Amino acid sequence: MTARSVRSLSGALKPLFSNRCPGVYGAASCNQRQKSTYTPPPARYGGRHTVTLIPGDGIGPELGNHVRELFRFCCVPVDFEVVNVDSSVASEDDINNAIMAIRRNGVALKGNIETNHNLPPSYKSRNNLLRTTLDLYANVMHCQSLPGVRTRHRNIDIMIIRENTEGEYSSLEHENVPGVVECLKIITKTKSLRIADYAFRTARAKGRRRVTAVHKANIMKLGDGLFLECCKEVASGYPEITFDSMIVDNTTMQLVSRPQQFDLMVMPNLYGNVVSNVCAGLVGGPGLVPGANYGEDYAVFETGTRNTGKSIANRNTANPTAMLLASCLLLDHLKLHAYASMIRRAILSTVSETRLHTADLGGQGSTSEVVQSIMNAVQSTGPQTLSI
Amino acid sequence: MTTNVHEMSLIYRLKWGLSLSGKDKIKAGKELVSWVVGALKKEPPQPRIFTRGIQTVTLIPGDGIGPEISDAVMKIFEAAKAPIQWEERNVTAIQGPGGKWMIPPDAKESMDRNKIGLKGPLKTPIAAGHPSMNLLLRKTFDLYANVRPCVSIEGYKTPYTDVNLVTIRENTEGEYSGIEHVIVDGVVQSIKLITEQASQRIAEYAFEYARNNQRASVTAVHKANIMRMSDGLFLRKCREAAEKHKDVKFTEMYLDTVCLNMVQDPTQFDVLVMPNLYGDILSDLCAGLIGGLGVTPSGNIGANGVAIFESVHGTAPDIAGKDMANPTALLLSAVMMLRHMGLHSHGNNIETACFDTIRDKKVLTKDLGGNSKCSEFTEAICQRVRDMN
Repeated sequence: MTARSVRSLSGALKPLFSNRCPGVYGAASCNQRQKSTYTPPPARYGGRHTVTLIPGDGIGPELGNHVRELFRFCCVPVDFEVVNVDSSVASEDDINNAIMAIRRNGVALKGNIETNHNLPPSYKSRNNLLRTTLDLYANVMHCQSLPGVRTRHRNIDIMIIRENTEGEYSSLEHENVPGVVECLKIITKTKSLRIADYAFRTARAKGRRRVTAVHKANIMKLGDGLFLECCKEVASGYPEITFDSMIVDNTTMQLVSRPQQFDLMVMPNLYGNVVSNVCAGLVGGPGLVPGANYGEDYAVFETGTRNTGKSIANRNTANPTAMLLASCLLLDHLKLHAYASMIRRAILSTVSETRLHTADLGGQGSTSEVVQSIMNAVQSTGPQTLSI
Repeated sequence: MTTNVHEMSLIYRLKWGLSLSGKDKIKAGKELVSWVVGALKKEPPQPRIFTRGIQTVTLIPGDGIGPEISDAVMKIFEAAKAPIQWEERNVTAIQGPGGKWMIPPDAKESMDRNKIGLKGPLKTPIAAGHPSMNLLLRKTFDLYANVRPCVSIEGYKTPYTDVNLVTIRENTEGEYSGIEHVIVDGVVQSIKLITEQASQRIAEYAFEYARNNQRASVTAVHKANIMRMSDGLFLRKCREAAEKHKDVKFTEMYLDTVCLNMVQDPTQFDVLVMPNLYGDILSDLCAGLIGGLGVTPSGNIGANGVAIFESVHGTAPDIAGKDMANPTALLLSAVMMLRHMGLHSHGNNIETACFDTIRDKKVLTKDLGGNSKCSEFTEAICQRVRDMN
């Protein structure tokens, strides 16, 4: 069979075999994976991927540069298309350009874009706009205790899956009577089912035993009640996974006393914000945890707690670990697993060295020292270009 | 009951400008002078500035372990010779005329008269047809501020030491307004209500509290980057209140930043003021930092000078009646109550006795890690208090 006819055959069989292994165009050699987790292959020309990079504000630009530097050093076949978003202008052209670039490339790495909350409501949060327009419905954060980082709690391994597009972040507010403001929190069955489905699929794929839904259905009976019902419905299809639920205030209390009891947690938007920040704080702070936003067709990677870090910008003191681990998640998404694990191993070996800890971990190391050490670690293990 | 009925009626007549008889006029004159002098001395605002001597407090024992721990608190107060007289009342929801659920009228009348209450845990039966008792109390007395001081207890080890902060939560509106609709099948809308009046009230209270309790700073917790209008309104009111209280430092912080920093370094926070939902989550987070709801005091401040102090843990029906309960939460809430009434020395004595007993670790209830009975724990505290006097 010629390559072309195989390709056309694979095109015809696409509904059946919905995964394409890059570099291998035979339908027979693809493994069958669930259709709904599949994202279309990102821009890939001549063996190199193009990824949108949105530097953002604060420490975003310098960390973005470090990622590019590291990728260049490791000869990762990724080219970055930089799209700047100026948060100080009122026009939404910049963010629309960024969204178009992400649609084009399919994947992005992003720094946080600052939102001045003293501006009138017509100025929407750029980050929120990006997430809702691209329908990046699942925010995934994996908080793990890292060796070498001293925290009050040990052995934490929690995966947090947060609904990313609706809930309290619908930005629907109005003032009917002067002095009385109403803000709408929207919960829909479709999106709740979708996020619950994503959570359970991820739990199954990663071998997680227990899924906890976090809610406040005793007070918000209809809204969070609907979310809980959807989770229960989806849970019935995964008998090997234990499903339970917990009220959000009790959850935060349990997290600070015994975080080891949690495995995978799924929740609506606002509680996700609170819980993910608490968990990030428990494992060592905002500088260590990467975050990923997945949608049906696109994926955007950033630091887990989405901080701009204005106060430490351009001082070479920011912790690059979160952004670099996010770039490893990006590589995993692009199926460049060998590069991803090589860089991840180097990052984790650097984090365990206390003398290189940056200020947020209680040390005095600088960002460039950390990145240099990671590059040295990569060089010593040797690039493994043949094992792809 | 030693409530001075004559004195009370005199005050009410004074307040409402009603006519006074000759004997009363002289007494009224004396009272007026002492009131003016008191106002000039600028004492901290107390709800009972006219009365002297023993103050009556409404006690609601509650359900489950409620009666035991209320007993314990009464014993300790007796040992401390605190000038408090207890008036026990029961709150079970009854249906008034028109089908509206309300608390029993004698409980309401007692509370309105005494203005200060101490409440144990109340059970909320599911599907009883009536709203939760706590909600009813909140609505009846317009308890707009929930204050929870979280201080690390020496002797009860948690991974967090040196916690010393206060969360002040708006208690009436916000996300818990209970207004929800099903728009279409599968789409639910929940309304978060923020009003200027309630935000102003809570902001003012937060700064007053900071001033009266010698706290250095107040931090407003919000999410105005996403909920621009609602949390923006709340923030504006906080800023206005900050202008009027320049002696207290004011900062604003995003909810996620507060959560992140709270679990890493809680010592950087002092007084936190926030709307209902954030307050619920954060106050429970802070309670978890110091050891849980079994050791956390809480107070609800209402309009018209009403204040109800309560323990926020559950009724623990499994250990009710077995003399195993831990009265610490209710005791610390009662200490908060004493401080609110201006009886600082008694409050300090009882609190010190309680903390010393816990630090000693000789008599501790089961949840604190020991295996003594509630009565033994209470007796240990009583003994310490008696030794102090």
